Amino acid sequence: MMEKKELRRADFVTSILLILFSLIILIKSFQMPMKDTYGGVRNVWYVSPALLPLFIGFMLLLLGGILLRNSIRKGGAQFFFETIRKKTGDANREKVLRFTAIIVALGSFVYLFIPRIDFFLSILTFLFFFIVLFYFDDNDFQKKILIRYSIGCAVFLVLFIFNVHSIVNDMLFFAMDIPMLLFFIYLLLYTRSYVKNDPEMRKKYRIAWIISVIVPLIICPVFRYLLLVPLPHEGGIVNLMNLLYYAVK
Amino acid sequence: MSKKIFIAALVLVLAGFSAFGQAQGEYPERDITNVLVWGAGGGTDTCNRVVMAEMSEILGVNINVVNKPGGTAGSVGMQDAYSREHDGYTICGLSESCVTASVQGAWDKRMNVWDYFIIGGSPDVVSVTPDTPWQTMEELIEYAKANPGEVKAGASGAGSIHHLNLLALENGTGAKFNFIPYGGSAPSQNAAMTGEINVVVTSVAEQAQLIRGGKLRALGVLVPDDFPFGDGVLPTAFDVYPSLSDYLPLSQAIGFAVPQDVPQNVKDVLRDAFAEAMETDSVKEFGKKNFYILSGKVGEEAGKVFDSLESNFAWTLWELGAAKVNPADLGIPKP
Amino acid sequence: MFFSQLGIFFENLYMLALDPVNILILFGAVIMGIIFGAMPGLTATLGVALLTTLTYGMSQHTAMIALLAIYVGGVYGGSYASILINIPGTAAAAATALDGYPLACKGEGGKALGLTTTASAIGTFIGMLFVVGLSPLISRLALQFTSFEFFLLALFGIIISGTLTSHDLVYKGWIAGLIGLWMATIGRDGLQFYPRFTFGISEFESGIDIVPVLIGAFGIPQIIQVLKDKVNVGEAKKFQRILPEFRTIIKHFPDILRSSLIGVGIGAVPGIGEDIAGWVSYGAAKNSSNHPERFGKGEIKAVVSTETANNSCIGGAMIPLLNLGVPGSPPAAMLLGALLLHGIQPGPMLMIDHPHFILQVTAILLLASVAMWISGMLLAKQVVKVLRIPPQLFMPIIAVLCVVGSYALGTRIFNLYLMIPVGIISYFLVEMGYPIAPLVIGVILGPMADQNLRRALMVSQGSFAPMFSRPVSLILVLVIVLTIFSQTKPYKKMMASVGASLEARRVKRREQRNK
Repeated sequence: MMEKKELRRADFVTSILLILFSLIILIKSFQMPMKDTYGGVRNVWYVSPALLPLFIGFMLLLLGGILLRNSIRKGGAQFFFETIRKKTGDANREKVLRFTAIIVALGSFVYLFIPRIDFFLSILTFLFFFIVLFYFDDNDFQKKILIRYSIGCAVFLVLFIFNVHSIVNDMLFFAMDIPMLLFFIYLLLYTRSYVKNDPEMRKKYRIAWIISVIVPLIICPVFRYLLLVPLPHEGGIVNLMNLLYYAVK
Repeated sequence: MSKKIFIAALVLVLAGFSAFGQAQGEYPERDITNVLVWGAGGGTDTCNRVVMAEMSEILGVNINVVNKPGGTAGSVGMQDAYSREHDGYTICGLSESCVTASVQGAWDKRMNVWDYFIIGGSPDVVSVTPDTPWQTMEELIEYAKANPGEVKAGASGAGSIHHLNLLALENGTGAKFNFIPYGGSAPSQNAAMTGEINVVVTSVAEQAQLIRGGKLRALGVLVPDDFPFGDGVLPTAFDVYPSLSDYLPLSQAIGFAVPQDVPQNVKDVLRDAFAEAMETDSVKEFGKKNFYILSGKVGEEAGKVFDSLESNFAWTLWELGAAKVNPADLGIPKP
Repeated sequence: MFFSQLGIFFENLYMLALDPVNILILFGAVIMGIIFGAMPGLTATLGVALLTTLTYGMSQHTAMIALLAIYVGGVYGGSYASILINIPGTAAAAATALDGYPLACKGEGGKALGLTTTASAIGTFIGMLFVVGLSPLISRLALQFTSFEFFLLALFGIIISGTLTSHDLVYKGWIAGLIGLWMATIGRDGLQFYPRFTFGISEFESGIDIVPVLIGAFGIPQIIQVLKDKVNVGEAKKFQRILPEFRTIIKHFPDILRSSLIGVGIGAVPGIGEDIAGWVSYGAAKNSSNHPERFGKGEIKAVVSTETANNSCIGGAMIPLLNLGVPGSPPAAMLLGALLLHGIQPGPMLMIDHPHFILQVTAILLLASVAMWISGMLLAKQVVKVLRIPPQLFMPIIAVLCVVGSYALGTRIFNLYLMIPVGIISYFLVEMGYPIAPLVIGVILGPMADQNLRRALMVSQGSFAPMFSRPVSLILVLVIVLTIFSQTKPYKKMMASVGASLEARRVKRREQRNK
């Protein structure tokens, strides 16, 4: 949590957001059916689907108001305007970088790769990137790999926007897995060249790539065959697993 | 060095795999997945699991039942099952309520894209709580006619099979109830036991224990014939109110389906296995014990059942104002 | 009558325990349950669902052993992730994280796990006693719950978790609860099918799933905090014995007993389960404590109370399931399906159709709690070692598990799209002093609050009078009002003055005695 003073400042902003949010809820709720028959149920005010949202809206408005009053009283509003005037970003730059890195890693994994790329490869790449990002504990490296990873993601994003992946996959089975594999290998090689001269780091590098191979190697079969969960996107590697699994069975 | 070999091997394998393509042998050669559109533990789930277990023995492969609930009227599961390869390795476990998905705007196709296998269903029964004065269907209906909107009748939510049965009962007899919707059959029955509602409409399968235990008094089933129950029968409501036959019966149809364009030889294999499974003792025993009327209908016959269900459900919902899409736009004929 | 029942009970127990295959399945299922519970996103419900298919071919006895064992293990296993990494494996264990994680940070993770294991076992056992002893009575009591009571209960669950978890301003907990409640209204409403707050996105029509919210809200803030702010995860340095001292258990016996009763009671009410039991029991423990200020900072009493309650809930949930055919909790709903598959129709006629079935269930519950205790004791020692892995290595793996877990139950990719924003918003909320648990509880209980309120008014034709004329509902209203009122200034002033005068009187008396 933050300091008391910072908290009151944050309260000032959130209370205003909350009040706006509650107003949206109220406006939306008042548009819901209140009287006419809907879904075979005679509609009176107390049956209306708007009943609970109205309650929530009013309560949030009330609590938001209390929060606002409290933050103004305790000097949160004053502090807010002070910081705006001074424009002193008191944010810690390293922390911001780390936060961005986490968001980029999670975001690319969930929004870019899982829906379109073989599940095994998605986990492999994400995990390797996410581990070396923090495990190495090296700010310079963190910045460098983040930039390279982001550029890679941007390239994939462009490919996906133009629907290249489905065209390529139609031409040749699971062909889209190949650029992904190359991307992973690039990250691997880049990290390796970075840690070449440091035995301590080399050990960490080894651990990182071994773990990022082992984890999907356990997760995919367990979910696919033991828990019977169809994986989000089953590309080349998962299909290879299927083939092996049914051959063994 | 070793890594280069590893990478080379991976690339090779990928390339080799694409050449593999879809070498196919005799159906079925691997596990079949049954994407079930309702949650685990419900009637559709239980029936499907019993039949799947028998079919998997007959076919010699596993049939994995995967619950994929969500969306409107099971649309998420249906969409998922339909979007997979139409090769018979994915089947879709569903029930009559799914037919409303298209008028609710959650499914852009009509229900005739499926080829059905109907396991069966349990007829709906109208019951009252034991502390109420009504001993017969006639007494209840006459009271509800004389005091419209006073009798509280519960069933699962708007547009469910039980709600539609209740509506048909109202339309066929002219009685008027105060309809209280619940999240499912179990909560509505529970509410009857707490005394919150006086009349409850659910299936015999769901009510059997409560009727036998004396917690509910069954007044009549909403099918044309008396329904054997324990040592006696549950009387049909049609005898007293013949006009019901204009609106009923509207029966549950639990089963599964494959897309219409699955190869005929695959369909044949599935139909044979299904027919054999329906004849096994364990399925028959299950049906009898749980008060299901087993059907076993497949192909065109089953399609007709779902066609009539679709038109009935879709138009009723449209008239209730609870449908998003006009059934006429979808080409669904009026019942 | 009673002794013949007891005889049958032991006969059942003996028969079940003698078969090595049964014992093997028992332990296998318990351990599988623990793993399911401990992994974020895999729940006891999924475990029971999975085993339903796998046990289809087995005999009814063996199947019941496997299903109940995985249920017991699953509810218990949730505490592992709560205590060690502050990400509850299941909603049921969210209250455990409140004090369990601070304990782990102090290096007492092993001790906490040992205690929760014993507490869970005792909780399961006491729950079992109720199934066999008082089930007709309790199921009659559960029938006192009509729509009004369900609504109030849901409201109470949200308010109590909001009140208990706020570290900054108490109403921040309520705000979080209301936001959760609002999230629950997204989608088609359960009564009339009207689409609310869907903003034209068709994926929202079916509403918001609980699991991605649970994982997003608890998991992602923890991952961000550990990696970004380099918050230390607990260490296993002072690694003492896991077996709790007998004395500690004796000392906490009143807590265990109270929590078990709460757990059984809440489990018996259809539709709500382990998640609320933990919170209510936490609140009761805090109220009865002489040192309420220690709560939230690693209080043993709290951990023991929550874990006992959520495990005794299992027994409670079995009561309406067996006697009325109405499942008391989500995993129990799955269990109902499994019972039907094996030709057993739970309900009022169960005692006549299968007279020994309830006794058999209790015997299995007893075996399961013993098996859970043994495997828990063996596992806990190993599991604590997880903390020795550097967090920078550990958290990315947890992130992958969170993603897979959110996807696995509904197999909807949309759930993942939802989880990330929920997680990021939750992170900021946590930073600003909002507790996150009430938000999750709000999402879980929202549909219940919404539908039951409207249905209750539908039945009463718009009148609120039954709320105050029905005994259970009146009690709930009073408790809710008191909970809110107790957070206001006048009340605190009043309590302070009462406390002061009591203290003054005590001092006076002591002085007199000394004279």
